[in-house]
Amino acid sequence: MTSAQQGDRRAMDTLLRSHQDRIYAVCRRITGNDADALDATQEALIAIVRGLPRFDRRARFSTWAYRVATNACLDELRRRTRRPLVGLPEHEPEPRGGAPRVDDQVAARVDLDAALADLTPEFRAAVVLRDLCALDYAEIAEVLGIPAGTVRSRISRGRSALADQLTGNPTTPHERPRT
Amino acid sequence: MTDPDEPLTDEQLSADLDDEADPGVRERIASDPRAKARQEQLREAARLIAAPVDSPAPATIAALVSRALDELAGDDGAGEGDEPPLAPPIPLRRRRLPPPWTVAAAVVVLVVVGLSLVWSGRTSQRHAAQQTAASGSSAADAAKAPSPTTGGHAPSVAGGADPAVSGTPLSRTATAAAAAVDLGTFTDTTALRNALRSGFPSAPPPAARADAAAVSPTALTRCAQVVANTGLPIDALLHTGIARVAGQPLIVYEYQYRPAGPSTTAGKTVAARTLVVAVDPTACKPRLTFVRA
Repeated sequence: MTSAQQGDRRAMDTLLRSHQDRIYAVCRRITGNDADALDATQEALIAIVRGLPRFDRRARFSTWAYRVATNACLDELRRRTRRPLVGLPEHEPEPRGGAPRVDDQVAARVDLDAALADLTPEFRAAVVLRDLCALDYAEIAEVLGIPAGTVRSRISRGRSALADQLTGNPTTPHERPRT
Repeated sequence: MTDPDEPLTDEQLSADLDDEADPGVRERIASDPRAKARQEQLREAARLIAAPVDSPAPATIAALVSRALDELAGDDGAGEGDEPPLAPPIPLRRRRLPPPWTVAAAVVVLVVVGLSLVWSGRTSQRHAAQQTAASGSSAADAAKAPSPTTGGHAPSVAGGADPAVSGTPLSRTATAAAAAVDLGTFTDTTALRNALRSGFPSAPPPAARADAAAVSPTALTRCAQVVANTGLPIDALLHTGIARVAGQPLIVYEYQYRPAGPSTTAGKTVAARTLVVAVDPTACKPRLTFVRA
């Protein structure tokens, strides 16, 4: 880390490669498609390279990197409103042993993307940082710059909306516990 | 604390999943079947979000990292502070006006370069005229031939993409790729190949635009980096364009192509060639590749 902060190219390369998969995963979930996720990942990696000399280690590097990535994703989504979507995901998923069929995987992913797309990006980011990155509420509050109570509310509302859509049986507010 | 008379909310159920609920909530859930069922739905939603995300191809990862590392050389250390950058800092960087003497020097240099280009252009025109008179103008004829699959439209060609003209070194393709020409729309990759057979257009077609805005500048640079990392015998990026083929955008790159082997055949110099590669802007997968002599 110290070498990378001092501008050592090899150390920076190692650092980026060891975190790029998580950064891409965050971007993929928040942006909802491969093209925007790659663009946001690229911007996040560039921002990390530029900002690393100023990283003061008060937080974990991964938390800081998630913060940079989340902001890159939100910026990318703002830019996306000014250009049309490229289309459905292009690259083939890597086969995994014992995993469901590719068709099923893609279908589930599209369903999840569609369900996540109905959340505002800020709600999406809170849910993704909790469930994908396993950050606690205090860390998410720091990453998003919002109070912990708001984090709790956003995660709840995000999960509720997803649960209703993914079960295909949306309930009205009075039919389920209040939010 | 929670009011035992009030039904449990989704927020309480969700917070309990994360061990962030108020005291007493867990016990209430345990005794409330309806709340337990709802919490299972929330847990399933959380599990789906936590599912692994498919990684991009290794070449794409290499390109992303390589492009980011390019920033190491250009870092000026500006902007001290504790906060990480909230956004890519490119738009936030302030531009400083250069001192007046550098502006004057730059003007002088530009004038000298301009005069040199004008002079060399005149010399080249005379030379080209001599060559045309001697060998005919088959390339120009080919450029004018309409493409049957694109509705008779043939884009203007920039000097037949003379491979002798040096392009941008691969190490700097990131910036060069950002200047892309709108190549228009095509029914399939064969039509695109026919349109590019004689050269790379220098101007967008008058109609049937590809809508170049559909491809982000980041995708242009990323895919250029991916192609550059494939190990193909290419020297420099000459042109970049965006075409829409069968409704989907493709990024088209043209490189100087120098395959391994002798540069002369039977004592005759072999003309340098160009490699045209069209890739999809998401995974940067090649959809069309051909070599133009």
